[in-house]
Amino acid sequence: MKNRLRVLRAERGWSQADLAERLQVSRQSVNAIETGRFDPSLPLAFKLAKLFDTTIESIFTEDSARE
Amino acid sequence: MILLNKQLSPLQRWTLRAFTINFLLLVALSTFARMVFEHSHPGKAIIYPLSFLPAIPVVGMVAVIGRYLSRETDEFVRTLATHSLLWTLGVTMVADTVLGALNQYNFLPGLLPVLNIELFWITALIALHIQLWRNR
Repeated sequence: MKNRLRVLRAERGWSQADLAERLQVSRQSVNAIETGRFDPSLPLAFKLAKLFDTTIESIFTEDSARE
Repeated sequence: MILLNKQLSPLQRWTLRAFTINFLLLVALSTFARMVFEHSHPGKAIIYPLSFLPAIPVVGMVAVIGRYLSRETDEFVRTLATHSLLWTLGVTMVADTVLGALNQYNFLPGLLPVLNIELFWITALIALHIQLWRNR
């Protein structure tokens, strides 16, 4: 699954550690999600969407989906 | 699971402490049971409870791991811990099968009773470090 997490984070000037702290997860979790090595659960995806004030589908897209 | 952050979470600290206590208890009870078997030649009424004695901390270790996995709120860390555990169980079971077969035919006389759990510990540390290295 692709995601725009790195872009959204950069727009706000947050480091991975900053985002991790806001999500109450480890920095490694944020890194793994950003690089597509780990797909978050639905509750964490909702948490991300709420934090960035957007929808889940605007953050995450299927690998096969065109941008 | 325990080395992802510089500082351990209270849950990770508790888990590490409880696991170590159970491990030390296992070594102590295994040694005690072995000594009784070798020196006292106990009767049947004692043999079975004595054999189960070292299994008590093993149950404790499984409970500690289960508690950790059920309470760890970071799902990625939980996934890493689960992967490490699966590798650890796999390696331990394979080694146990091979060593068990060798021991059955007396190719490994005097095998230490805590070998499995030592192997478990070593494999767990290696698996954990590989996971951490891959996800640094």
